[in-house]
Amino acid sequence: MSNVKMKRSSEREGIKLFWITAPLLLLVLLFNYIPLLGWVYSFFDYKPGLALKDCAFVGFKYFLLPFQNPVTRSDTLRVLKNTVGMALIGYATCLLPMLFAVFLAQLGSNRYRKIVQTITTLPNFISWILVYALAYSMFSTDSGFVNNVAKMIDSNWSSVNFLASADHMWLKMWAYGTWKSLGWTAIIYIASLSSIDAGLYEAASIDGAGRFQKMWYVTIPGLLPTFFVLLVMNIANFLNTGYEQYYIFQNAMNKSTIEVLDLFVYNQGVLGHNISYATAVGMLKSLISLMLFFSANRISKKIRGESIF
Amino acid sequence: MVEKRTWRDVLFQAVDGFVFSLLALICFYPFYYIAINTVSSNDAVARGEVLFGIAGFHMTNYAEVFQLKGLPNAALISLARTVLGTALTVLCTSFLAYAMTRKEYWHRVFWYRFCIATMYFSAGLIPAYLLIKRLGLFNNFLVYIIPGIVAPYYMVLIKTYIESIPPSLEESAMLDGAGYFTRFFRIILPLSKPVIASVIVFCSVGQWNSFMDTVLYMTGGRWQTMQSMLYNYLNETSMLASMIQRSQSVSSIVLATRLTPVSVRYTVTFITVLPILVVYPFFQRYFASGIMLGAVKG
Amino acid sequence: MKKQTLKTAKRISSAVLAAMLVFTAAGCSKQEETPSQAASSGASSLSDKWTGEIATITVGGGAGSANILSKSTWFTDYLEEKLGIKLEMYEGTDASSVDAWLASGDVPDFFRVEDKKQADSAVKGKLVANWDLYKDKLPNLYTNDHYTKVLQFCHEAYGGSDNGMYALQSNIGKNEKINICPYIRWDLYEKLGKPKISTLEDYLTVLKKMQDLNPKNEGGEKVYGLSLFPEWDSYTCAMATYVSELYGRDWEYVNPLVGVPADNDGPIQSILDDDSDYYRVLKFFYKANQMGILDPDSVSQKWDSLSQKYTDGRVLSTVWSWAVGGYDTPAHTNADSFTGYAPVWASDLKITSYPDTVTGASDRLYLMSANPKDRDAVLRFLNWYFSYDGQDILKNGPQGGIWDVDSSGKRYVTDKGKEILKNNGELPGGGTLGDVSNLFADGPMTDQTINPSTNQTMSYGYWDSFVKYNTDTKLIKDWSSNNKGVLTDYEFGKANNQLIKRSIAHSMMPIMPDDLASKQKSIGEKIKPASWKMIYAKNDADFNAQWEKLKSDCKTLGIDDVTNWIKTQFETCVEEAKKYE
Repeated sequence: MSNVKMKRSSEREGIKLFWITAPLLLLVLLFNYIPLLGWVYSFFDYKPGLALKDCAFVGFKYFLLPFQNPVTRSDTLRVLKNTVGMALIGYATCLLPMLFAVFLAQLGSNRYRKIVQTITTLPNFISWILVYALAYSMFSTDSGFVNNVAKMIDSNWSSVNFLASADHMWLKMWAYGTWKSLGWTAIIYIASLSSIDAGLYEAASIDGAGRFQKMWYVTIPGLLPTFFVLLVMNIANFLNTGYEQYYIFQNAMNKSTIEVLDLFVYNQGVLGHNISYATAVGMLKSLISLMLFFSANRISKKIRGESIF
Repeated sequence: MVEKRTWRDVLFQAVDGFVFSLLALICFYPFYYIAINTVSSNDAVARGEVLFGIAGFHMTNYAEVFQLKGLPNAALISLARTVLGTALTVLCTSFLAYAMTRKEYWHRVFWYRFCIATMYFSAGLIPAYLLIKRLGLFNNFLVYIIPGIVAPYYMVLIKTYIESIPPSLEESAMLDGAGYFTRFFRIILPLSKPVIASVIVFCSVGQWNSFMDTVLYMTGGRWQTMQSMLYNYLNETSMLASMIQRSQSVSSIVLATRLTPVSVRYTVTFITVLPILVVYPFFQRYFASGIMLGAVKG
Repeated sequence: MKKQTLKTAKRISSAVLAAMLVFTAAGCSKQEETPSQAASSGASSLSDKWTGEIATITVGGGAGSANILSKSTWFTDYLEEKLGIKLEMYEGTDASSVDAWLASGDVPDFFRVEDKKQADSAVKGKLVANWDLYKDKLPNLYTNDHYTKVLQFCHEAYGGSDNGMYALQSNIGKNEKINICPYIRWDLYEKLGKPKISTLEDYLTVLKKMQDLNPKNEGGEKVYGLSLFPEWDSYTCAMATYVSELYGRDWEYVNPLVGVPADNDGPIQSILDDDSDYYRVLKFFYKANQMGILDPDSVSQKWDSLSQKYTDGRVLSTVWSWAVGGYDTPAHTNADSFTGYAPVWASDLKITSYPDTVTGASDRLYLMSANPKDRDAVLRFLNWYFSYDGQDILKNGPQGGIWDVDSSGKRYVTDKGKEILKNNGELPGGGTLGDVSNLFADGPMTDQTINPSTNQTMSYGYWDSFVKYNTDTKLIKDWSSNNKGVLTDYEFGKANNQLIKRSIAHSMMPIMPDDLASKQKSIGEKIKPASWKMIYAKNDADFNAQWEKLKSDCKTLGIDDVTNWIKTQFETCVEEAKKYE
């Protein structure tokens, strides 16, 4: 077949494939893009029950609300600092799920490995409310396990109030989050391990590679595509921490360091009732996420030589 | 070829095993704690006394939950949505992922981004609610299934995995004249068992645990899922305190003295997680099916 | 991810906001029946069975309501048999769900909202009906003396554009009860010789002595004089707000940022005034912490933990009598060496009692859909719901359940009934009284409204025999003998002339404009952490520094605008209230 003919026939195939998947793309359009028409609420003082035309037009008022006076500005800065701080800790440790999978695979016994893997996914199913209840029974000043044990060991121990102090909040939140999600996030890496050609391991053995060298030259490179894909997706999501975890652990004493953007938005009554404000904030976050997404993608293209998305 | 086990190997595996045992312990203990607290006397539980062993064994927490009328039906609905929803989502999303790996796909990059970008924006509760309403999906079982058919996050995972499959495997089938569907079902899917198994697990857990869509889109009890029933059950007991504070009606005050929400929460968690744990090992064995050996020789 | 956030958002907000009540209208079938013709003081007047078709109506749901209605209970059976009504729930207990209903234009046939703004939108959007149009089908509402004033008020407040009535306030009627007043451990107080308490700060020394007398409970755990929790904080440290009300000013109903004298007589305090009750209470808790009588976990514990601490006897004081219900069981209160809580008030306190809410409470508004499937069924239910008989059943259950009639024709709670109440047991037919209470905790009639057919209070909780039964413990007898023979905290207050009745003007505040509401929320977000930090301040300098910073931050955020608006609006409320008092 000539090149042109092949190209045209592959084009035709491509269009055919598109039409096969068109219904699915339609679903994506319907459930994700059509509702975006609701972004118009952010420009009005929307009150549910009234038609939009009966609501006052306010332009960019709600977008500028976080910046309107020194107190709100310093608040906005503070919560952004908290959000970024915790995100950075997350990125610094983003290799953990991958390493988890790699080292788990090194365990000798198959059966033990499976049991450990199942057990490490358990925390994922414990809701944050319960995590707090558990943390409270562990760490509370008065009757918490840790303080009680410490008192038994050292009678001069003065109870530390783990839950109601602003110190090390970012680390603590990171610790709870990691405990909860590590085993679960590692699943996809464990699955990806089997996509690595076994022949590569054989070849490495023949070349005299030891265990660690195999991990470094075969396993990890084999998992890197998955890693980068997940990394780019996470980077774009850094503003969207969700607020549940932080809401549950928040109290007056640790508020200054625990309040991330999503929690701040919730606390200000935005999510609860002011739909226009909530929509404006949602729009801003969406735009920032998308920008981050494409930037991260472009950067990874420079590093890896190919565009992931 | 069998490797010689050096002392370094032994040491490494010992340390490795030790570290993971520690991790497993940190993950297991809270769960164990929850389990023993569901069968211990509720007073001891509320005081935080039940740490290692059961104190005052009783099964009333479970009995109360299982006596909720309509629970069996709700459990069936939960099962139905999990099975059907997962099957449909995995099927469609994986096929779409496969289609996106094909370089000839019409405007591939654009459509891929079209799908992925949806992970980063949302218009909020009201527009979604209005849409579901206008589509007539209120009080309709399909609302559990249809909106989630294309899941961009899973699509990315599956696509990444498929791209690691040597293309020669598919090419030989193409030369034999196989079309997209044949190649997808006969070659790609079987080779992708690990990622498909993972996505099945993620998706099923998501379907099983979901309850907000029931609360929002279903009126009356017909399409209640087990999760929404349990959610209601939990909120029943924990809302009383603040309700009493406002309403001050005598009968709600009577109820104030019987609040034990913590034990109830533990029980509900356990009931929800148990089915997942039962089913999970079944999929776990697919995580590590390596089929690459020898496939590409020559 | 996004879905998870939303999911969990709902989870939390539901747990925080109060339940919405399900309203199902089950109309009585007998049209000729009027309340005054209702049967004699015992029997239920709905002796006739409904013979027509059973209609289903939709109502806005409270938490757990779907579960309650999915089983067959004495209540659902009653509704079907006597009124031919089945209830279907639109679930959603928080404001966002109501928003969603309003936005889609699909509201339940009958529902309640907590936010006047939502009622306002519903009216403007023509989603709810004008009750006046159905006057003749709702005789138990319109021709009932009980509702005259509230109807008048709601015509004005919620009249819509055509002078009808689109919303109705709830919780109407007589009230002779207290919400907040100090209760402390009476047995320990007696052991100390009942030292005189003249003012709020005197409690500190007394509680300290009580704590020293009883440093550990039976289980060996530490006991504290005071323990707080932050879970109900909305704009302020809620516990501090509640205790602030001990001097006769209302800090909750008008607005959490101002203290308004309960009887409208006197100046309005702003929360950030240096001489405000709130500041005084923060200082009080701060001193308590310095003295070691404040629970250090107060700032991080949830209500569940505190409730359990009360049950275990680990906290020596409270402002709510119901909070210590777990401890004040006969095992403690009727033992020979009895222990338990009783009212002990500083002599300069002014305790607020509930007003006679003739115009209802504005935080729960009833609305009727403009387009129900079966208007007649809805009206049938509503007519029953607003009647004395309807409320009677909802509050007390049917005869033979927890109550019966004695030989002189008076109702009383039977022994079987007492057992059922103690254990939240099931009534004949299935389902508990608590279930219904969950759905209908607030009705159109207060518990203490007098039922004209029985001449007793609507709710069993205030029948003489029941009150006597509840207060028949050695503890209360002892306390009573030391206090002029009174049996309840209300009687105590009256005997000592320390009660001040709140004015209904406090429930008449209009909707706050959006920008002021935003300001108020940001101000609240400053007041909350600052209050707790002040309570736990290390020393006086720290305490004062926090206070000064709080004042300056709130000034920048515009607290003066908010308080000025409140003060002006309140003047009009006082004038308005005079029409009904």
